[in-house]
Amino acid sequence: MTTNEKGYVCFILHAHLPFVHHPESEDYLEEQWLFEAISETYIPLLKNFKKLENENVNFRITMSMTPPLLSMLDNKMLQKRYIKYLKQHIELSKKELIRNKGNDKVCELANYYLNRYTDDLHIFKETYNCNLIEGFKYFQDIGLLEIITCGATHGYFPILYLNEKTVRAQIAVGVQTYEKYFGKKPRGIWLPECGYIPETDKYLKEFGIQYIITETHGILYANPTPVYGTFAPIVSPNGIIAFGRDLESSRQVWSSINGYPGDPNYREFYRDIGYDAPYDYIKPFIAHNGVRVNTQIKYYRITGKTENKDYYNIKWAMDSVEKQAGHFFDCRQSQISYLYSQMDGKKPIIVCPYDAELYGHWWYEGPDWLYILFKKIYYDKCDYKLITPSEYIDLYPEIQESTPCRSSWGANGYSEVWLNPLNDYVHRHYHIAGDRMVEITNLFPNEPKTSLKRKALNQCARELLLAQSSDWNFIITNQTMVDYAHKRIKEHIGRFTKLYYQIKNDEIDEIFLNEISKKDKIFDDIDYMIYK
Amino acid sequence: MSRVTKKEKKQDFINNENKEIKKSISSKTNSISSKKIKTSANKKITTNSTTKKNTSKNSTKSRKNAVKNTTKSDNSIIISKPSPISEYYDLPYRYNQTIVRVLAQTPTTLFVYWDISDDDRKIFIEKHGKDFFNTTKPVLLIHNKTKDIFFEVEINDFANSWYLHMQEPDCEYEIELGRRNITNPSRYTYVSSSNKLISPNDHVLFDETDFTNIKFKNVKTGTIDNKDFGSIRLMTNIGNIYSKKHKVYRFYTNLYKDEILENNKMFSNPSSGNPTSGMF
Repeated sequence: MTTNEKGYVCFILHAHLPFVHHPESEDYLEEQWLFEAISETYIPLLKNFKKLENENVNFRITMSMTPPLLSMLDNKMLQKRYIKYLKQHIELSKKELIRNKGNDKVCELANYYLNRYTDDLHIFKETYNCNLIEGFKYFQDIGLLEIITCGATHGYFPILYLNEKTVRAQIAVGVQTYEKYFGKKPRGIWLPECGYIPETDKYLKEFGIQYIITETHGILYANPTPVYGTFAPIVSPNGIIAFGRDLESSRQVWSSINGYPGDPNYREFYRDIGYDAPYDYIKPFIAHNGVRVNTQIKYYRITGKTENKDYYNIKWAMDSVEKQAGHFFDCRQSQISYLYSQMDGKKPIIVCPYDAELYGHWWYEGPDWLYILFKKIYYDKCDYKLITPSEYIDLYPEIQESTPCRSSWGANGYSEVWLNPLNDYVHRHYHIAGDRMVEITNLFPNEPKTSLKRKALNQCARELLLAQSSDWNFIITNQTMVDYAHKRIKEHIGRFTKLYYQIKNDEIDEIFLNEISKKDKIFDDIDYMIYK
Repeated sequence: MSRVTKKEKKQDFINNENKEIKKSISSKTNSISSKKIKTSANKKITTNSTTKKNTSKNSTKSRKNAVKNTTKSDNSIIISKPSPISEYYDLPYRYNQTIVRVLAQTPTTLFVYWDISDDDRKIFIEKHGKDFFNTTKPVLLIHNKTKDIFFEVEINDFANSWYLHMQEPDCEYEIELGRRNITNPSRYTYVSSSNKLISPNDHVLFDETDFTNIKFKNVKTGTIDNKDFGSIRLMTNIGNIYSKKHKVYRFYTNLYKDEILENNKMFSNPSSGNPTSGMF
């Protein structure tokens, strides 16, 4: 419980997945990104928020929920496929109990997975009626969670902005999607990849955005130098408030060297029965083409730098959660006390942004760590409180004017992840498609609501937005699912270009248009006039 | 419209693009050759600031990548519902458009791409003779508008993009594409200009900031208040950390000198929790 308030901690979780929707096939492994994130991150977060609410813990957390993620969570086909995913996992857990009979430790874990997936099915179907957005909206509506928006498809602004209208459209659709699902305007936006350039301020302002989050040097290298470093926001000359990531707290959670997720008691991500179980046995539960993949049923703990992993022990993992939540709690106490003494009475804000999927999917115990930490901050003696950026702005509206530094939170802090020799071929296609979208919008403005041309123009806007997802360039740089990323770029630019010519030549192929509209079914209410 | 074969559809798309593309061979072939061309362009020419920069990471992903690289092969697709269309796309090699565009990769590395349309090529040939493109070589004229400095980088006709290494961050640039006569280098022909670009800053502007006059704005009321921060302790401490223009690496190593920091990995943070980073 806060006794002598000296500062604030602001947790921001960025929840994002690229739009993966393949009605034509059930065999895209990429679709499992969503299912794994639902079971390991989104449902565990909602469960812990609920627990905190039931225990009357007055916590605060901020989450960005990106338009592609919201669109997928709201998609009936994907909801059905998630239920199928859960049923398969329940079946597999049951089979695991039989396969591992006699091995009490493994059976205990198999039983844990059986309960967990059964519980997920119940929560998903019964509590949330298959739509988790309602769950998050509930916590926003009761004031514990602040949800912010993001660029329409997570397009990286520092590259797209050569055609500013395409950035404006990313912001416009991001705000519109937010309003559709949450019934009000967002006060903040998570700039995709924290990619900041001052040129976008005017569009953020146009759509009512008050604040953004930047990487640490977005604030530290700002002009003029912010007098409180990242421990207070700054406001740009155009009126956009920027909060900067605190390095110390981020590294405690994130560092690959000594961050919390590497604790020996935590679940080992890279030991999965998808790889460990006998092939014929596991075949029905892995990729359709027989390639072994993760099932997310994992029995081992990190143990240490060894290949000989010990079995995962849930109680031990929870002991580490307690210990590390205590460590984080104490570190913020001393950090805030020190800063407060240096800031002439101004209360520092420690901004802690993370990828939401880090919590639960990557760091399996992460959602429980948040639960314990929030409870500690509420009940234990400390000099700080949890806060959201909006609450901070309302409390302390006097902010230093300074222009944030052009920056991102990608490797090395600028644009190398999304612009390097592996993916630089893509950008001219983004730019030309953007120019063409503006061209056909101005050639055929305000087409009648029911006209085929309007439908085609709207689909062009969707294809352009989907092509612009920063995810594809990220994947290419990381050399992970590269084929899929190339395929998606080619498909969206290809579909866009084909439609562009059909529209210009007045030869719209309705069968083609209907088909791609089913595949790339996102932003149902889009209006291509955002590109005018 | 009746159903068409995959081959016809592919041709349909390519035909569209061929209205713009000079060469009528498939764009797939073109894109492969473009990669080769780019590789061949990856060499140091004329100045020390013109190498193609390879920023890819040799990351150690062993098991992780094995886990991730599991996209299905084409023959494994189970079609839930037969599609009434078949689709095949490749990106066009070029759009037959005269264009120069510049982006900032880092505070000191710019990425430029360009093209000259067939129509413009014809105009140059009509004006300067049929050997114009053989008797001239392409150059990029870099104008640092902040420092008001011009310098030129020789490129080649096989490349369509280039990385340029600059000395100074936080400058405004404009890049011009031109042709310089091989035998008489004083003869220069302008082709096209890029967008204007401001490169990012890469250091704390401590020395440039007047701390005795810091502007604060009340975002609710709009009122402005100027404050004197000449003596605030936090700033004095920050000043000790960056008394000069420290680069980002130095800044972080100063803050975290007790930790073992792997070079280039200190920023390799956040997106890594994202499935697209390979965590899924």
